[in-house]
Amino acid sequence: MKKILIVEDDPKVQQIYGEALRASGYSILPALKAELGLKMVREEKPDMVLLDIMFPGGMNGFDLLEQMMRDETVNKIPVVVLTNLDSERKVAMDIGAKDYLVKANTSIEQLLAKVSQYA
Amino acid sequence: MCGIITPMADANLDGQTETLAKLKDEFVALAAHELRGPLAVISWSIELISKEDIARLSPMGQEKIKNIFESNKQMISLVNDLLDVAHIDEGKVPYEPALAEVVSVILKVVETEEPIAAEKEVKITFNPEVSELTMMLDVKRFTAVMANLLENAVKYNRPGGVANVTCKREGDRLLVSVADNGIGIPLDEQELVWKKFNRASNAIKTGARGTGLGLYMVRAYIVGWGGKVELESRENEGTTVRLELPIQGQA
Repeated sequence: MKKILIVEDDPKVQQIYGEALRASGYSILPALKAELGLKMVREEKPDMVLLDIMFPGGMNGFDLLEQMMRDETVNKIPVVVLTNLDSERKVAMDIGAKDYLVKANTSIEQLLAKVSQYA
Repeated sequence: MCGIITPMADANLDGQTETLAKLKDEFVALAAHELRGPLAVISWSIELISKEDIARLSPMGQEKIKNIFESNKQMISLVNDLLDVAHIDEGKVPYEPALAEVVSVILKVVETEEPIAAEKEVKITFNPEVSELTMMLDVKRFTAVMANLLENAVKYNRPGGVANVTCKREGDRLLVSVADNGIGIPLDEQELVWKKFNRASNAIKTGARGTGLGLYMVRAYIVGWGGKVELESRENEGTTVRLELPIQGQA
């Protein structure tokens, strides 16, 4: 079963992604903070990461992405950024994200299609 | 107001106005971004209610789910517009180009608008003078531009009216027009329709909903992408909008 790490601070969003992805046969690793997300990337080596950008305090999604990309043991794991910021696409793609989705403009169906494309 | 306004005070006032305008733009961007989170959660939650669960609801219950879903989509689209307007006002016209075939993009807009037009008994015709034309295009926003113009042509029209869309190539320019024989725009208001939140007086009188952002965004995008927009209208006779965009990215 493929493992998807979800790094997202909103529990409601975690629950929604989790429900949709489990129903499609994935196993879910939730992280509510970017620091925990980075630790789980290294320990669990998920098949894919869904990454939010903004976290209250501490490390943000870009920091996590940068550290991942510098770490040869995890920098091949595909990361798709899911955020509501729409002006950060270039930054995210330049650091190494595979894709950049605006949450409010992405349906669950579209999200599942992206996951099956990259995971 | 009395007293003397020195050049220094004037400059201060200008500075304050500028700061206020900047704060307002930042507020709009932040508010819009913060609105997107809950709007996405509503949209996904509805999407995840199973078809079986919905089928168990009464027809009235099902109608309400549909209303929530449609209103949610409207709000997401309005927030997207407000964010784009905030970027435009900062002087950054959004542009995410990719190679696309423009005639099929326009055709898709026409097909999407046809049911709405049929309800209003307005006929949409599409007469492209090129069969296909591939160029660099921000498909999402160009689609919004075309939808906007076509919605106006339908909305501010009468039963039996026509909205005609054309598209052709002239050298390295793409020319597109949307012409209707609807209510038109009063001559003294024609320059104002490009202003943000402004709507023509006869448009408001029809009772049709609108934010007054449509044409403001159409012009900002097209001009920002290196093109031109022109509007020709006569009250009670109709309106024609012509767009011109540079064709880039062809082999």
